[in-house]
Amino acid sequence: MTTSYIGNRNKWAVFYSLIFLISCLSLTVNGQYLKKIDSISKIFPLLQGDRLSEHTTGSVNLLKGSELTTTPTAFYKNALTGRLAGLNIVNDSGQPGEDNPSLSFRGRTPLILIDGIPRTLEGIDPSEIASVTLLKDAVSTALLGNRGASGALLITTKTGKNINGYNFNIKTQTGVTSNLKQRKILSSGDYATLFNEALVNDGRAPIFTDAQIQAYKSGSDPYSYPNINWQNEIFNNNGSFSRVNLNSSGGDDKTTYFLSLDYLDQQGGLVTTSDNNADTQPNYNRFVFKTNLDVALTQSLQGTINLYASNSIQNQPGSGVTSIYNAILNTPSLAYPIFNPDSARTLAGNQTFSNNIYGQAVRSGYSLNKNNDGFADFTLKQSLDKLTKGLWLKTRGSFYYNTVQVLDRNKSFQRRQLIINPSTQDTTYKSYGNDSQQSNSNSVSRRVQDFYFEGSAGYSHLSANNSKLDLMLLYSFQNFRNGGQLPQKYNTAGFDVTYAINGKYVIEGVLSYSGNSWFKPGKQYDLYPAGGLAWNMDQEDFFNKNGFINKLKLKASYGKTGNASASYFGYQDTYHQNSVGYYYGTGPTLTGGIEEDGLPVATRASSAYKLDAGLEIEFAKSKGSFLLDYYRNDLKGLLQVRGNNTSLIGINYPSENIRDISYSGVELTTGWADRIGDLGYAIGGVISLMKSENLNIDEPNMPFPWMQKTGQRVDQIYGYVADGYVQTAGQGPVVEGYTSVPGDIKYKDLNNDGVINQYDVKGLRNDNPFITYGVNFSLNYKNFDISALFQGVGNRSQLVTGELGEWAFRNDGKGNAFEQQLNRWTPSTASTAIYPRLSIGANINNNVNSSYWIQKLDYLRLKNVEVGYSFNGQFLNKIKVSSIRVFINGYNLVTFSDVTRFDPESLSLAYPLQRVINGGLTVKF
Amino acid sequence: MKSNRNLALIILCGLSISSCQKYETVPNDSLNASIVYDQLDKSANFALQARADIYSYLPDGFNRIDNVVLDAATDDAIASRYGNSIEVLSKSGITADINPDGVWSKYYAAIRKSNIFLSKIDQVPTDLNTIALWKSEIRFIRAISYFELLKRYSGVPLLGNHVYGLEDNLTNIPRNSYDEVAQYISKECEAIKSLLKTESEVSTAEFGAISRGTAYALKSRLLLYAASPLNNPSNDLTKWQAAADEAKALISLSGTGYALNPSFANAFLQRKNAEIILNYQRAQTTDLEKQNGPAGFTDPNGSNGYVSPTQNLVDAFPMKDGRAIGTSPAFAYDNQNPYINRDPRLALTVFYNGIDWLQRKVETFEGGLDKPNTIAFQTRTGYYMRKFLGNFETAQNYSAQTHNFPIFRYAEILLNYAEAINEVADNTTNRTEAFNQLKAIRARAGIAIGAVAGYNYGLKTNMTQVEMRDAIRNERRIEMAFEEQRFWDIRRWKTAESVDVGNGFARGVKITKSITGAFIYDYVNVDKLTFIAPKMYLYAIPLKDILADPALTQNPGY
Repeated sequence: MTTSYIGNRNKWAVFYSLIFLISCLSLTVNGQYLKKIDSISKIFPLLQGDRLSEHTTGSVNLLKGSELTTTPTAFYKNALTGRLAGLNIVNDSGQPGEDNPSLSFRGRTPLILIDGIPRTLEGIDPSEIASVTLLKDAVSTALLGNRGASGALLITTKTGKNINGYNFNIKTQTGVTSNLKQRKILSSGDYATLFNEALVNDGRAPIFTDAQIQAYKSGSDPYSYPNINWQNEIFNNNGSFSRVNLNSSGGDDKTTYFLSLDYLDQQGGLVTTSDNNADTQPNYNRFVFKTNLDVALTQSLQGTINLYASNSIQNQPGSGVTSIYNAILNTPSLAYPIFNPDSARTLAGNQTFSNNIYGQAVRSGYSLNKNNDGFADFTLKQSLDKLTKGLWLKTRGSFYYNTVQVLDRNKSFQRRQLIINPSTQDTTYKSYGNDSQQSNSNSVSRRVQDFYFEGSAGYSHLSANNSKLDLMLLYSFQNFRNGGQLPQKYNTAGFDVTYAINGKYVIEGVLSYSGNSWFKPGKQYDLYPAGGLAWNMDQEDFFNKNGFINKLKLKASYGKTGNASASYFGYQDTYHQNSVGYYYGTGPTLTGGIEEDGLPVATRASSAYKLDAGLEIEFAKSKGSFLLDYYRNDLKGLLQVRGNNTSLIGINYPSENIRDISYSGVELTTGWADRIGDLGYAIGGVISLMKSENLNIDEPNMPFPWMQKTGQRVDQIYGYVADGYVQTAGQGPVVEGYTSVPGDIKYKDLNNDGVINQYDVKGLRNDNPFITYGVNFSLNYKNFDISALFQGVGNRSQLVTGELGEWAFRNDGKGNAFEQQLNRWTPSTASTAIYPRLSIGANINNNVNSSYWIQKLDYLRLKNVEVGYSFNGQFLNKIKVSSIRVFINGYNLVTFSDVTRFDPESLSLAYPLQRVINGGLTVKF
Repeated sequence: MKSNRNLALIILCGLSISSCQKYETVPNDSLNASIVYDQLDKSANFALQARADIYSYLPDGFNRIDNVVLDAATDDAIASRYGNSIEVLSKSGITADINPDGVWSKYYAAIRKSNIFLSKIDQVPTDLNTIALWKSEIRFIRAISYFELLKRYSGVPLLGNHVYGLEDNLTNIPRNSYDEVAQYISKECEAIKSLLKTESEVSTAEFGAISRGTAYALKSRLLLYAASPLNNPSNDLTKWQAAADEAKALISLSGTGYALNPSFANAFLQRKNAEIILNYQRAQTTDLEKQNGPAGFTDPNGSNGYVSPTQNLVDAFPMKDGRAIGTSPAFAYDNQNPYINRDPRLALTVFYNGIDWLQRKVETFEGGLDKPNTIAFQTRTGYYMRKFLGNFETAQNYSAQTHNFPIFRYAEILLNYAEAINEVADNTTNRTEAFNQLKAIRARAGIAIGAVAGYNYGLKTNMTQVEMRDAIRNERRIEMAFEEQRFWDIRRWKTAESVDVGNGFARGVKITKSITGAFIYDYVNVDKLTFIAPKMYLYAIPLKDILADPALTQNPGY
């Protein structure tokens, strides 16, 4: 699987093989290194502070930062995939700098907190992360008030350790990247053949003669009969991934620090040319500085300063990578050759296909995206042990800024069409567009300033009878300014009390009061209560601690959290100027228009009523663990346009707090870790099953029950139900107004009125739960270590139509055709066809949303593998090196899926996802 | 002690960070109703922009539906691109969900905006006459919005002057009848006639604004439609009389200066000309040339040829002497040389093979530059749409032209009058009145009165009522081709369902160039048209609205 990529003019792989060999040869293996297997950690970083597992009632999952470092990625979120039960990660692009995935958890996008503060930072290096906590239930998220409804991901970065000195880690790695499976475009000969067939199907005359088709197939005249595989021509390189990270931590009893410098460079795989004096390759490089500094100001007062600064530059051709990739998908192989047969090698093009993709890639200039962001946190924590033991006060302030500047230096280029006079064979050229001067414009596309303040107080007391009381009071204020808008201000005050009676019965209550300034006064604030119970059964006298099960905890929680998705002062009755207007006068002169923005409506935060119940088990002397959560989240008052939205009012109805939906499911996390002699091994798995339902979506009375959306799954797709193919012309039922020919899709006439129309639309996906899962293995033997992660999804399906569905000859025939059309319906392939009969342009019967176009997108992927070898011995000590580890890892290595046409994870039409083969070494001293 | 000091420090820090600064609590930069309708602004700067926004809802018909004209859903033209959504209309595919001409919400938006303007403009301190004038203009736009709904959906709910809000319950509003809506429009036209300026009173800077003649023109068309077979099944002759009276009233209205433009082409290309009653005013552009010019012209004149006029339309144009093809004693019709000696309007309505354009001959023969039979877009019928385009026969490149869509022009009023007066009574007096209108139109078109006995301008001088009706109908078709007239005419005449109109074939010409260079014309069926009657005489009200407002009854068949 991997060798085919390494062979491919791959300087980095060669480089790394050499490093690896030299390392192996020059260093003598000495001493034992055994990687310590972490059992499931018992301390959970929570919003309530660090808590022991047996003193909590909430539903959380914890991930150690060390599990994230094996994934070669610019964006840490990619490394989370398959490792946290219920957290689903979808990446839509492999373009350097754009491969930041989206997260979804229980149907929603979770809030991300970095070191306790809600913020989105892309430049966090996985090796800076100490832990990731997924806060799932109401009790865990209630302190977030109106930002807790979607769950939260709490990312804690590493801090220094009191080791009376310091240590250094240098990690350098580099790898080669290549495209995952790409859509397969038809060659020119096949294209012409099928185009003719489609014309004949439509009752039109074919336009390609047999001689022309033969010429496309043979390639005998590549200028008049081109056959260009644009994917190969444009993506003709491997990309690369390199990263250097230097971090140091240390300190003494007064001061500890963690300091990290991270540099990353990703290069894309597009064609480039030495003619350019500027880089057109899509690439991304980023420099990040981060430091966490803890200072004991006095014996009881702790100060913390966290600083972060990041600076990234993303480069791409002036035409933009997305439009280049789009052009590749939409340009038939026979559209035009790359170059003309003239000495200057001018770019080819014609009236129908006037933009040369090669030109877009290398002759369109370039544009840069410069992203700067950073923060400074300042925290003071005062212990009041002298007053009352266990009492403390904390205050924290933070600034965050983010600016994105776009520097556009694009230019246009000339295309020329070769015209051969059929009688004289004289050649002339017709030109399209001109070579232009490079433009230079720059603009700031994002300007964010974020200010955060937090004040908290807590009290913690462990009594003699092993009862533990935890109290916490928290107030936070966040002022988020974006561009020219007035700031959005979040205010949240909360209180948490947890009491663990004799260490057996835990009872917890949380209450927060939370508001958002963009809502109308009076609707800004809401109250969010939550409560939880847990029973540590293993603490009971009747429990045999020496039995197979050595830990058993039952827990349940219920509560309300909120989601403030406030439109910008949407309750105000405002007008705006539009660009339409009207021309008056004989001049004429345009008078611009003014119109209402919309109907004002005062919305408020929606609520999530969350029920969670779970079980935590450890067995075989804690070698094995088992965490099971059941949940049901009822999301109420989500924004939606009312069902009775008549057009008579003359304006669009606004979204109101009227939609209620529900998500429910189970999430399981299991693990087993043990050691046999020198062999340590661990295996873990996560799986989640999720269902959803529209509880009430305020729809009008539907004439037929199958049109009703209430009761359907939230992400339901609606359309006609395909029912085989038309066998004889005129046969139905087909779409109203359409005259069928053999090979058209037939549909189920649900209301039996003889035609297919809006009354035959129903939900098309089944109700099976959506499944995400991951399995990870790790193994170490003496100095070797190896780890692997499989990740997959099940019961995932999507409507793939139009460009996504690789429809043929769209846009009245100017569109492309793909290899799937080789398996189209013809009289002889009627039983095995996977595509209806061919036609040119949009077909109102076949090219509509129906079950025919629902694509199952299940897959299982070997997401990540790392193999390492560590050296640590006497000779290293001589050069003050404590250990050296060399490693090779990979990302997106092997995929198992029924989807053959494209990569099942990313359906998008952006730059393909990347496979990465990467290697490097870590030096500690 | 020490900890107390630290405590004070923390509190101090907290206070200093959270210390209050004064911010805008709501954005002060937004426009709102009291700024737009400013009680202090005599020049009504913002209110005029609200007026301009409402003006933009006037009907505009150029390449309006998926890049083609509405009449590409009649036997006059088809879309060049296969699968164009206009086929939903030309092949009876309208449903409550799918309609490329679904304007239900567009015109209710216009009505809402008009009502807001009418309810608020009085608070603007401009002089009262001007306010009254503006209100009349906006009432006109509201009236024509109802008319646009009426001709598509039949009776629709009349909402009066009320501006509805979120708190209003709009789920029980029934439809008004056809007659009620027609009466409302008619009354509104009457009410504003005297308040509007006549064409000659409108200032140069305000040219294009609604004038007095416009109210007559709308009422004329409204009454003509109301008198037509679709809406007047009992053939109540008083309805025809009313239609005739209103057209006549406009023809004899003083102070308007309306007249036929001596040049048919200039009626569309001159921004200000006597024929215009109301245009949708647009800037000078080359967009129509690029959308409709023959597809073989490339950059910088890259033309798309979106519309393919049919042989059916071409055949409707008479010979140069006004006689129908194949009937002229002076100009024999040769279907192998079909474009010679034809009504001059033909060459201004369609591009045919061999016509001049941008310094070359248009080539719609098989394999010609404008019909290359490759992947590139091209005509399906052998014709492209020429009407409304600038005179670029000898120019090298397109240049920006006036392209105003004719909503009402004087020629239509003459034809309205002719049609109505011919129906009022079967007598020679009325027919003479009708004939006079046709004569004026044909004379302007460049057809000579002719010397053949019994014929004037190629038309029989002693036509029967039925012959006159057919002549008027054909004249409407060729005079106002692609002006969004025929689509509605064949419905109100109830001829759309007949095989030679809406249920037959759209025909075209296949021209083969022989080795000698001679052209061989072969006439072919290009596309099957389908008109399901009576269902397709009216559009379906959108399903969303039917469901949201159960009192709203759907049109039959949907």
